Parts: sequence; C-alpha cells; structure tokens
Amino acid sequence: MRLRKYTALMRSQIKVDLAYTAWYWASMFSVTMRLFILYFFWQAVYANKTDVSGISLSTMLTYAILATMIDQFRGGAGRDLARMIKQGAIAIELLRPYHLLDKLLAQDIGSKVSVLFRSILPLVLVSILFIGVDRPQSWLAGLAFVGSVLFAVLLATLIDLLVGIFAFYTVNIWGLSVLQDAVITIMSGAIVPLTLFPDWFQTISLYLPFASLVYVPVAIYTGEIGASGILQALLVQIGWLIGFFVLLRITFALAIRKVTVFGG
Amino acid sequence: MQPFAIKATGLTKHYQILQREPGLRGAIKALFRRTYRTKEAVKGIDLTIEAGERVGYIGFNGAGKSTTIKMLAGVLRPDAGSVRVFGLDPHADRVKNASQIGAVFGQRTQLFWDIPVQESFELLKEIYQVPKSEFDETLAWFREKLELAPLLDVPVRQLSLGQKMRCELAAAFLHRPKVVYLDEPTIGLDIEIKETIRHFIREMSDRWGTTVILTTHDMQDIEEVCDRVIVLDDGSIIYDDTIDQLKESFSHERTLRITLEEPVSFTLPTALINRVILFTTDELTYELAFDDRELSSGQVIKEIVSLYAVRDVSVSVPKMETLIRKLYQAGISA
Repeated sequence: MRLRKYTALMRSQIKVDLAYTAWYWASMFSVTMRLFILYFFWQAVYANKTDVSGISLSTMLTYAILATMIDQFRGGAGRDLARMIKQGAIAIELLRPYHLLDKLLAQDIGSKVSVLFRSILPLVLVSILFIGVDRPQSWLAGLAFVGSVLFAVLLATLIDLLVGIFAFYTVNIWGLSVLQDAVITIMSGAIVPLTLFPDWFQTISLYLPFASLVYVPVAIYTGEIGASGILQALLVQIGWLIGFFVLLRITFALAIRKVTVFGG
Repeated sequence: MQPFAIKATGLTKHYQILQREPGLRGAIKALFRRTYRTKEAVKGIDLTIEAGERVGYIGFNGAGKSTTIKMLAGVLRPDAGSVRVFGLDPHADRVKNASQIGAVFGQRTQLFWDIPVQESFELLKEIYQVPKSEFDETLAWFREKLELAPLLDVPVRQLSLGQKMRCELAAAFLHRPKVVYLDEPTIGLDIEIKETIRHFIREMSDRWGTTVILTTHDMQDIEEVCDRVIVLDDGSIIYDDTIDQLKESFSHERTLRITLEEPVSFTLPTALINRVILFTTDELTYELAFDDRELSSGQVIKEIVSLYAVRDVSVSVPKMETLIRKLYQAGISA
C-alpha cells in the first residue's frame, strides 16, 4: 500500500512533537495564557459600550477565540523545507523513495494532529469552562465550520510550502517568511474580523486567498456569512486549494533542478 | 538483469560560484551587480560498474567525488552526459531509483534526530516498503554484526559518532538495496569501529551482491573493502583499475632503510650506482629505493655493510598510501 509510508511519516512526526516534554507543556500553558489575555483585552475595549461596529462583546470574544484556535495551525512545512535546503539535508531527502512535497504534507498533518491535542483541546476546554463562547449560528453553520477549518489549515500549509520553495533560488527566505507572517496575520482576520477594516481593504481581501485562512471559517460559525453564502465561501476555498496545489507542483518540479549541495 | 549496475557517459557538472570582492565594499557591490565564476566540478567522466563490484572512489578534497556520487544517486542533475543505474535515469526517475539504492553521507545524518533509532528503522521499513519478515531478519542480523542492541532505544542526538555511524550504515542497507553509495563512512572514527564497518560492508556486499561505491581518504578502507579503485583528480578520472593490478604495478619497489653507527660521509658503493636512488633522512639515516627484479635486498645490504658500520637495517614494501600518493603526483604532472 503506497499510502502506508505517508501515514508512517505522519505518525513519526507526532512522536517527534511528543519527544520534548517540557516544551509540550510550556506550549500548552502559553496558549492558554493567550486566551485569558484576549479575554481581558476585549473586556476592556467594551467597558463603556455595548457594541463595536455592530458587533457585541460575546460575538467578538467568540470570533477572537476561534480565530486564535485556527491560527495555531498555521505554518511549519515551508520552514522545514527552507531549512533542509539551507543546511543541505535536502540531499538525503532526495535519496528517498517518496515525493518530497507529499512527505512534507504528511508530516505537516502529523504536526497538526499534535497541535490539536496540545493547543486546541485545552483552548476549547478553557473557553467553555471559564469564558463562554456562543454556539454556532445553526447546526449547518457548525458543520460547514468544521469543513471550512480543514480547508483553511490545508491552504495555509500549501502557501507556506510555496514560500519555502523560494529557498531553492535564494537559499535564505527569512525576510520572505516574516513578510508572509505579517500579511497573513492581518489579512486573514486572525486578530480582528475583516469587517472592521475600511471598505477598500475588504475589497482587496476579497480577491486574495488570505481571508480563506481564518476569516471565512469563523464568519461561517458566527453567522456573519449567512446560510446563503456558505456554499459560495466553501467553493472559493476549494478553488484556492486547487490553484495553490497545482502552482506548488509546477514550481517544485522546476525548482528541484536548481539543487546545489556543496561539499560533504 | 541488466549487464551493468551503473553506466555513465560524459558526466559533467559545473557550479556557478558568486564572485565577491573582499570587505564591506565588495559585499555592498555584490547586492547590485553579481559576477559568477563557473567551476567545473566534474568534467565529462565515463564509468562502467558491474553488479556486485566494490569500487573505491578516491581523490583530493574538491576533486569532484561527492558531486559524482550525488549525480549517480539522482540528487543532482548532470549538466551534460547520462547516467543509468540498473536501467533507470536516477534524476528523472528519482523516486523509482531511490528504492533500489542506499547511501551514507558521512557528514549528514539520515536518521530522525529526535526519536530513538529503532523508530527511525521502523519508519524506513515503511518508506521502503520492506516486508515485516524480511525486516525482522535483517535487523536481527545487523544487531549482531554492528552490535546495535544497546543503541536501539536511544535517541539519535545522544549517540556518539561511532555509534551513530553504525546506525547510519544499518539504515543504508536495511532495504537490501542493489547499489550503496558510501561517502566517507569512516570519517573521524577509531580503528576498532572502522574495522567493524569495513567487515560489515564486505559481508553485506557478498551476501546480497550489493554494488558498493565508496569514497574515503583512508587507504585502509579501500584495501580492505574494494576490488577496484578509481582515482579522480580535478574532475577527471586519472586511474581506473583493479586493486590487484594497482599493487602489481608498484609491487617490485623496495625501500631499504639503514642507520649508521656514527656520522661519516656516506656515498653509494660503486656496484649500486644508477641502480638505487638514495634519500638522506639525517646524517645517520639513509633510504635506498630499488626494484627487486634488478637487485635483491640481500645484495644491497651486503654491499653496504662491507663498507660501513651499520647499526640497523629495515626493508619495506610499498603501502597503499604511497601508491596512491604516486598516482596523484603522476596525475598532476601529466
């Protein structure tokens, strides 16, 4: 079975993530702290008003918490690829009977599973027990939310890998990586809903893939994207997925010829 | 079954090296205008290696050994020429070719850094789709030959260099590949581990008919593991023959070393002039090189002790190390 090697890679990535216990618990602790900071921040913003741009405190908190959760899944695979290229470990990877992109994807899924248990589960528990989040707009919205999150996480990985491939040409992609992080943080709606930005900014976001990463799934959950808009929102996400997948394959096939490994 | 394990013709690779003027000025200038220099790492080499052969691939640092190996393994794309490994183009058919080869790159690890060795092996088993029974048999065997038992549950980052290299070797042979590339597998290891590794490579190759390509700077490795030696210098092959042939061509050289009782002016006895080359080490010690087909060691010793008071005499036959050094020198002057 061909898939077996990729599931094995996925499982081994989970083992790697579990290998450092102190780091594991520290990440769990820090993500929980972040949640409380968010809570007190929005409490302070809403201290003297009942809504901001028509959004109530409980909706805003729900948005912020869900966005934080989805944002935990961001990135990793592209940085791994860039590091392999920079340190020359790519030579070993190219000796293996697997497609490197598939391998990175499999490992990425593995690390996302780790994130699920290390960060998301505690976040869900804390927000339900101590903070309280709104229920999804409808059961349909809840279901669509789950699907939309899956698409969003996968899309984030593909974008990250595409940026990583640039290391074949430039070796160092630190600057590009920082830029990518900044753009995604703002334009995906990971901090505040995109509807709080000026109209022109929202129009730009409409034509870029970043909104699909955080804003779309959360807006489906909160009902900002109503029942009639759900299907279209999901289709746009799938469109971006297919587009980036094809672009990634082509770029990789071209870039692989550029491999240079000096010495050793 | 293909007639050859590896066949390469006109294999060429050059690198673009960024030329940068020294100092801050040069660094700033390089931001705007880049000039590259082309370095030909491998200059159109031809190779034919048969299945089951063990080939020593040697040369100075920077001669192009690693580059050749990376082209044979499919990591680098040749700029010109072609390679076939059991009928496959290693770069175009990379994934397919990868399952029939194994490799150790002495300076890089292929094991998972953070998890125990055993888990790395289990993962390789899945990646190379090794059947469970075969995997168990192979691993049991490696445990014994490479003394792996105490290492299996230790994370790779906690292993010593020697322990790590034993595990790397096991990883390279785990899926019983048809060809194994070993790029400096004994670098920085102690004599005992080097011995273990050499035995292991020979034994594996005998057992499974594995073709072995070995690069090293330790001539002992070549002598004990390989049947054939290829010498690379500045991107071209300067020697390619069997080890026996190499030894044979130099085997008649003898070096006689004498130490005199007291410092006297030493000149060659007339009978030896033009038949012996004299090297002076210090005022008491002299080395005389000759061909044993022309003169016997006994004759030379006799001539000398009849004229001088000699304290000590020793005769040496050429070592691999000296042979190779001679080849390099011949290659450079040619």
